[in-house]
Amino acid sequence: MKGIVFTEFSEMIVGMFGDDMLDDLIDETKPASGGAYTAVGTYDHQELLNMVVELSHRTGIEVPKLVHTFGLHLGKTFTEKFTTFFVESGSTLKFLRKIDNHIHVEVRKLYPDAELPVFSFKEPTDDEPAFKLHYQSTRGLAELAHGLIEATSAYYGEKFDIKRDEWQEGDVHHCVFSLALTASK
Amino acid sequence: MSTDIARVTRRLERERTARKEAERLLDEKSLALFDKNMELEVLSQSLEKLVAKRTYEMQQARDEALNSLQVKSDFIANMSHELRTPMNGVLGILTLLSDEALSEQQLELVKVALASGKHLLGLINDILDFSKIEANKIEIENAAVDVVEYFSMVCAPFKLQAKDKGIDFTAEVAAATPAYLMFDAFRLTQVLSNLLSNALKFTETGGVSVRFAPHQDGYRLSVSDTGIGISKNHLSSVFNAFEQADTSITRVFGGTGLGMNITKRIVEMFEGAISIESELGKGTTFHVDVAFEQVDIEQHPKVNSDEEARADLNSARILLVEDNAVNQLVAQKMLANWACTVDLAQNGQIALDMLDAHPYSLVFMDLQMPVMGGIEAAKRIRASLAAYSQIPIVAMTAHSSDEHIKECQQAGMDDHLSKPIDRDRLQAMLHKHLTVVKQSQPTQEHVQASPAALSAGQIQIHEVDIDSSLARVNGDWPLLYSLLERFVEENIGIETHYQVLKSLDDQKAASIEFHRIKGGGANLGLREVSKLAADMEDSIALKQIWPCDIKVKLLQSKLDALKVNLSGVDNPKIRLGKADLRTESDEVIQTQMHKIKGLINKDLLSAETLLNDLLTCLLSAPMLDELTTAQKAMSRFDTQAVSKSIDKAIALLG
Repeated sequence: MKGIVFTEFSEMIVGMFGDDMLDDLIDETKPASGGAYTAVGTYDHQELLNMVVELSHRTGIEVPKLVHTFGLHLGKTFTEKFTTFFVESGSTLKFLRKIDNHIHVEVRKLYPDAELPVFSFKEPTDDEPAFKLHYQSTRGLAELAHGLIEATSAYYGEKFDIKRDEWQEGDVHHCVFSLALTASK
Repeated sequence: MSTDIARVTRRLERERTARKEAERLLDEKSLALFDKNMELEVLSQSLEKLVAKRTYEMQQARDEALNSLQVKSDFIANMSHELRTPMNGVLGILTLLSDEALSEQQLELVKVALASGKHLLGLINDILDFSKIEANKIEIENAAVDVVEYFSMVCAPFKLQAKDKGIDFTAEVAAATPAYLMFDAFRLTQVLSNLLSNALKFTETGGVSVRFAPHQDGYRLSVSDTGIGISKNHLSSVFNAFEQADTSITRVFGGTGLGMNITKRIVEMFEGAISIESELGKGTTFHVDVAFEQVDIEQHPKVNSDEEARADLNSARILLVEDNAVNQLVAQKMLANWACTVDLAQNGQIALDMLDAHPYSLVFMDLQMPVMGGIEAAKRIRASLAAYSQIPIVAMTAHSSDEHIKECQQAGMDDHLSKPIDRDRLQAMLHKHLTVVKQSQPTQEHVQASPAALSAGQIQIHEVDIDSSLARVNGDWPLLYSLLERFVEENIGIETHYQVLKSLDDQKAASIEFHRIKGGGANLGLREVSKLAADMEDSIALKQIWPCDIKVKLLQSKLDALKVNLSGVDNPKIRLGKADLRTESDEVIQTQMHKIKGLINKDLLSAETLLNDLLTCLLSAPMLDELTTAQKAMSRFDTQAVSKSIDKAIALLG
């Protein structure tokens, strides 16, 4: 998993719970990397999951809730750090359509070793008026994706009614997000 | 904030590790980036080389193509010769046969054979002319012509034809026409002959008339007939190649259908226009509008054409220089008609010996002969100190191309008679040249005013020793500027050129290249450039080692800088005058010209380079003219013309 996910997770912990909490999570989960994360590095995603579980344990907040919150945080960071992608897209749905064949293509140019989730989409029809985004990953981080989608729509000042349909096939987690626009700027 | 020291230490340790890891990753990425960059550079260099190599190959291919074009035009010229030579024999013998005591029936047969032969010759000429025009091989050569005399000469045979056919013929030159005009008589004759022969061909009653008169800003030549006329729907196709008004015309009147097309193209070469007025059954008029220039008679004294001044043809002793037995027979017999004495010489050398031994009035000279050809013989006659050095010489050749005629003129011959020999033309030639008094043209020396000279120190260009180079061109700054400009232009691609030559391992070409830059640079006061080029030439020519690239780069950068520096100086905007720069011995110039000649059909570019270099030497006026002509021909890729000019230039050195 790319370093930016770890550094942003660390930032969020420090911001929400203080430096000591981050120390405690690292001390408790003993990550192989020693917790010395850099945005340009790549680390085992299990280290992140361990820390989330430990955080849930310590704070009593459910893991999905934590992951969702992190998704919102990470999404906001993305809109600030990689503004270009957002500006050129112009709306939430246009942005989501571009993830697989444009944004992830660019990410792979910079990080050929990046393991990225797959996003496909289905345009709304008369029968099914919602835009459908299909998430597939071995990581099972649909909750994170959900937070990212919300952060994205917040950036564009749009509101969506988001429904999730999740299942697993072998190692791969599937989640279909159905997005129905309820308000826009 | 925690006060636990151990906790803070661990936090610090984590940050440090993270920083080091980030630095390591950064290094790794930078290195990868650098490697990619290098790969790209190598790729771009090899692409550049590839492009240069391809360009070189294309140039080679182009030269080869030009060469094969040359082969083709040579083929046409040779075909002309090959076709005309036997025609000469056939027509000559038939003409002689018709003078023998023949029965009426035999005479009729001979006449038909003669007419057919002449017709065939006309077709051959048309096709050759057409191919030459197609290949842009024809150049208009204007000269001062006595208008009245010209028209009476050209119309004479047609007058006879009209008389034979029982129709009227009138030719008129309007009184307002100047006595002399500048035009290409040979080509105008083609136009006039074609129009007249058509007019006569298609007219059975009434007559044909020719009129030449001032018209608007120029002159109008009109040829009218009272013949069959041309229908309106055929008027537009009259000038098309391979087309006649109607296919039945071909059956009844013959012809290739090329004549009018050739006529129109020649008129266009005169920058004139041709138009038709015609009514079916009533007749046709062709108008040729041209803008010939008037000539000041003072400058072109009229050759004395007084009948009384002519020598009696009967007493003339003529030298016929010809190796071909059939041609000898034909020419001798024809000349015998005028009871003049004809001596035979088998080649140029024998002709010279005979001229030494006997007084002659006129020489008829074949061109291609063993031992010594006609051109060489003519030159020797003209160069001789003997009395016969001014004797009229008429070339007799089956090659009637402009180049051949020009070559004959340049060898000092007075006129040209194309084979097969036409009796009327031969007679005209005898009358023209067998005159007692022959005024020679005063030669005028043209003294060229030298352009505004500059004194040293008025102009400065970085890295150019202006003072010394200006001194070398007598202070002619515009000339020096042009030379510098040309030098930069010619050599600005030296680095690429060098790489190509190196990749082909063509040391010879590279050595020539650097030699040229060395010489040119030194003359232009480019000491550094010259020195660098000299170093590299030495390295290649003496040690057979390719100099290191850095030297070429340095040379390139010097030339680039010179280009920039030169653009910073006011361009004197005066065309290059006489390029009298470097003094070279005749041997050097001759060697260079032979090199150029050898390269023309192999590597035109190198030939051009050598020629341009030669043009920076001090040259005699005729030599400079010849080489400038060659340079112009080169820019047209006219290799044949280049060869001719170079040959002439070589001949100038003796």
